[in-house]
Amino acid sequence: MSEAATPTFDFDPHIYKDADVVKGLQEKLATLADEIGRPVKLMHICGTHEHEMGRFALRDLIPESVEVLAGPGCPVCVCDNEYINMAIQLSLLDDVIVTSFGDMLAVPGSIPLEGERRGDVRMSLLDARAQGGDVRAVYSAFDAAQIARDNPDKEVVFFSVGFETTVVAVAAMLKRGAPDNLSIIEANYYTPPATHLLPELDGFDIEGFILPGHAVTITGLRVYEHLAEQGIACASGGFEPVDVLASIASLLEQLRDDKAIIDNPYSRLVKYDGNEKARSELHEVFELGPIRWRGIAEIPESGYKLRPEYQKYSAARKFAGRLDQRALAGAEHPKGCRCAEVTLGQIRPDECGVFGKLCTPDAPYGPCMVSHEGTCRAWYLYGMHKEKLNVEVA
Amino acid sequence: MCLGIPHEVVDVMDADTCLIKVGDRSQHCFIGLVEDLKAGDWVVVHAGFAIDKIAPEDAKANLKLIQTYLEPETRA
Ligand code: SF4
Repeated sequence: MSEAATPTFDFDPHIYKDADVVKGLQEKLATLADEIGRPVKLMHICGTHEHEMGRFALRDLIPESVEVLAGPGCPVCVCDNEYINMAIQLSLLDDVIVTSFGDMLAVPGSIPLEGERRGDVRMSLLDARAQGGDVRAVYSAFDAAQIARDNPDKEVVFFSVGFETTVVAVAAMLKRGAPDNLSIIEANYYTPPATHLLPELDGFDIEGFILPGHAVTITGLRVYEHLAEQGIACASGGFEPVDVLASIASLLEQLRDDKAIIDNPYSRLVKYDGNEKARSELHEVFELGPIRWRGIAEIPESGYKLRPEYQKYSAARKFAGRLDQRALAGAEHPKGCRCAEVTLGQIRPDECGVFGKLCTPDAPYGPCMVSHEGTCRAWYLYGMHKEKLNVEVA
Repeated sequence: MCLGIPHEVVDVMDADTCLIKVGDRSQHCFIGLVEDLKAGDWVVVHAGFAIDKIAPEDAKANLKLIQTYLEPETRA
């Protein structure tokens, strides 16, 4: 199958960071905001969007009257602490290696951390490692399968946490035949049902959604039709500065024209029906069922659960007799942490009383400060709680 | 966690594996979820696997679309 490298077309990803295009879009946003003539609230639902908005200081380029809030877009932050507690318990068993993405290792569940004096601090997988647990960070689900092959005398657990973009790789890995000593913790989240609930919340006033560009690459834009039907403007969102600003321009145009459609400014990757092959592998291995979103609620049909023919890979089943089931559940967030409200876009991180004091990226207190995708962490790292820079269009 | 970065395919090894260009090196990438890939194509890679490819016509159409945001009067 190997063939010589003959480029078929010139694609320059840097064009999506181009300063002139960014300036043009900044002007366009200012014009649209003037035409709309009232304050507008938009929301994105992807932690990577929050991160990129901070990294490129994009909020400083958006007109004052347009607020872009972060919604439930960080899978690590919404991961129910029952799964974290399960991973911690398993990691402390002698014959078990627990693997997960680096982000997940630092997030506390609800097991209190003995001897900790800094408030209501709970145990994470890193704390379990400090207590002798075999906990390893991996880059992908395929790495976890390799660790299982390399350690046939051990049980290897992959703490699978993520949205569609991540879950599909787990499906592909299991479908291609994973070793019998591998199992997964099924903390896999599907966002559209959560967005279905948002408009029902008291005081909900979001008029447009930036859709998560890489999740919809898999599922297609179709899965967000319910938002447009509820009169909420939608636009796919890529992750470069030009992409994010173009999505906002699309949403503002829709609001100016009193329309609510699903627009696709990230059309170089996103299709209305998504990636068919990826979707079919995903649904071959997983089916949708209820799952608890940390601090929010149990939401029907919003979790990817292994289908019966793949349940031999379920860590919850495999270790049912060895887990202390009573110790799995517990208070969702440490006392004083307002991650639930941050995750729903109901408050800004700096409205939480411990933000930047008891809770910083170096000593995080709640999940939204731990994860690189967490809203609190992005706000602290990129100074989004500080005064906006006054960026003039040259 | 949904970060995805575009990379150029250097060599397709089998139905599930290719080499992508990363700076001046190349790196393995899982491509089992993307159809009809060949060297010179571009894919968006997330956590070691390609989530989809960027077809030339889609890349060009996307640039044109962005252009219309910069020229307000031309957008329908
Ligand atoms: S700053 Fe954020 S992460 Fe920290 S305690 Fe408050 S809400 Fe939780």
